[in-house]
Amino acid sequence: MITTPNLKTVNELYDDFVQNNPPEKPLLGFNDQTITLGDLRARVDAFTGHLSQLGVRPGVVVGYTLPNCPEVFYLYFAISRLGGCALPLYPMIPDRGKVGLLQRANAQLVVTTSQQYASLKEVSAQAGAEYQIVTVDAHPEGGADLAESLPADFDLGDVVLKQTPPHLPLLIAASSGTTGTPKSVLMTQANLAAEVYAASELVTPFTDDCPPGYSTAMAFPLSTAAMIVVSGVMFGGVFMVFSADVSPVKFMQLVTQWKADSISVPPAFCEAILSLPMLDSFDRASIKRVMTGMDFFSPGLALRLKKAFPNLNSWANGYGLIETSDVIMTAKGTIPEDGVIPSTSKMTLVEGVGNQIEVRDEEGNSIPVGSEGILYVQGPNVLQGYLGNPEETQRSFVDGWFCTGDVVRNEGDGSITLLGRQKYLIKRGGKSVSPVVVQNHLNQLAGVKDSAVVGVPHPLYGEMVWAFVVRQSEDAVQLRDVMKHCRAELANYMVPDQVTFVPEIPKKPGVGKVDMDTMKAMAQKELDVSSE
Amino acid sequence: MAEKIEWADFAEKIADYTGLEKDDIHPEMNVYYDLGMDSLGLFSLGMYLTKTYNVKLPLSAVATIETLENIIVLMNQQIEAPSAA
Repeated sequence: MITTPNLKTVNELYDDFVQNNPPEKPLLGFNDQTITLGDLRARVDAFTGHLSQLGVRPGVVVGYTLPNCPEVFYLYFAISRLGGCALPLYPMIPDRGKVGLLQRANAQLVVTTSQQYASLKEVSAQAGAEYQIVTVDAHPEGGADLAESLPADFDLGDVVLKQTPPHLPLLIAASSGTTGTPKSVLMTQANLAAEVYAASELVTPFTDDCPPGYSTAMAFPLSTAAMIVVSGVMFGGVFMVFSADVSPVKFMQLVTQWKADSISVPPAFCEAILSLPMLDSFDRASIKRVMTGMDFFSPGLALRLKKAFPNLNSWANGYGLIETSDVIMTAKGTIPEDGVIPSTSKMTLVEGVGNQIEVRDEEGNSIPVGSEGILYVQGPNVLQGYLGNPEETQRSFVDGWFCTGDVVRNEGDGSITLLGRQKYLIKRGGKSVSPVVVQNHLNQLAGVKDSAVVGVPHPLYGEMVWAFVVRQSEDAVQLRDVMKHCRAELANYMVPDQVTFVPEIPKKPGVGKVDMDTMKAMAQKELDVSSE
Repeated sequence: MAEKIEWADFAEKIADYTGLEKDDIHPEMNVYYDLGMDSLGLFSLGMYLTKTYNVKLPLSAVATIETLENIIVLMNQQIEAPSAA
């Protein structure tokens, strides 16, 4: 548990955590291995030493692309202690996409696995990238890697920051942006320290059967921005179990193996678990709580989970955006035996962090309790703006307030009810997909005349990514070309789930704006036919 | 009744959907590791195959799939005995 309030940097929180908890405290369960605080500390120290020898110091950007593994934690804290800046890359982004992001961020060092090394090195060389690539396991070409032992006389005191400035950059993350155009953001030590407090509220025990130190099985990809929340979960005292493979079957095996007290999963993943025909064959009695985030969590889903997990009695959901360093508000409740849950979308600002909210109308004026408007946020979680994009920064960040673009009802006392998420984004399985990005990518393919991408509501996905493509001629482009083109550079969750070739993109009368509603209706019709 | 699906044709359809070359498609390919899909991507592939072959493939059965061979076996089972799954 976090014992000291108001610490201003991740490094202070890390030091506080390792000094005030016993080294034998179990922190992480990975596959069938238990990692204690003592283990974590030893590995973070080793990584810190190696990274310092590789030149990591304040201002140095370290990119990493790793599957779910404990090394993600070691790396993140080691970068932080040296004052470096982490650039986590989702492993499913194709190498060409990763290299582009690394170059744009001026990364000087990249950390990956021996398995991914050769292909990343080849693509990096083709692009003329100058960063060094190292691995967390045995390096394929020998030499420097993070798995080796440090020299016995190495003194960490010489390299670890003695004082960490709160405004030192610690993490670069990509945002889909409030208008659907991707933007990169920079999070500081202070932003991420605030987030540790906010995210730990999400996992703070509030029922007797989930006491301090309870366990949770995680189905979030750790190497991406989810790490931001996950460090709050860890400092919050929760024992996290996870595996490299997060298929629904493997996840349920993990739950059974560790007899996890709770599950931490996006709502779409809950649906995938519930669709497993062999769900009854897993022992589900240990699960008492579900913790979710990244999307709406409906009362109906909570009740369906209750049927599958008989001892489930409580839920928690977090709300936040990348521009607010993720979670700033939470909603929690019990799942009663009679099966009536009042609301799951009333979110309350986490107290004690220093963030503030306001609900404003379209002109930017505050509106009274009970009215609907747009949510604005101010405080230590809120970032300074977008990297290299002053226009959009000026549009979305006004006098320190960030305009979320989310439509809410003002409930007073730091609470709101979420009514709608950013309308330009597609929310697929909890991840935000910018239709503009996918569309622009499709339009670059030779033979494509025009395209439009819409989110189509689906119970399993939240929304499916559906592409409408106009070809220059019928034989100019086939489905295979479209998919090959998309899989070459887009992350897997951005690749269209379905592609429909159309003679022209439907437009609205007047100025000829793209008619999203017509396309959604066309897709829905096709979906209804295929599920009949 | 639909005809049994042959591997060669199935591999062609998988190549269409994934954008991979047909020669690179093998029955033992893992949809998560080798095709780089997430669980929702697998459902999308299932929907595409259902539509292409006009074979009912219950979404609940799709969740258990790990390899391409699992998919073709499941689809051919559905063709032979549509009520089985």
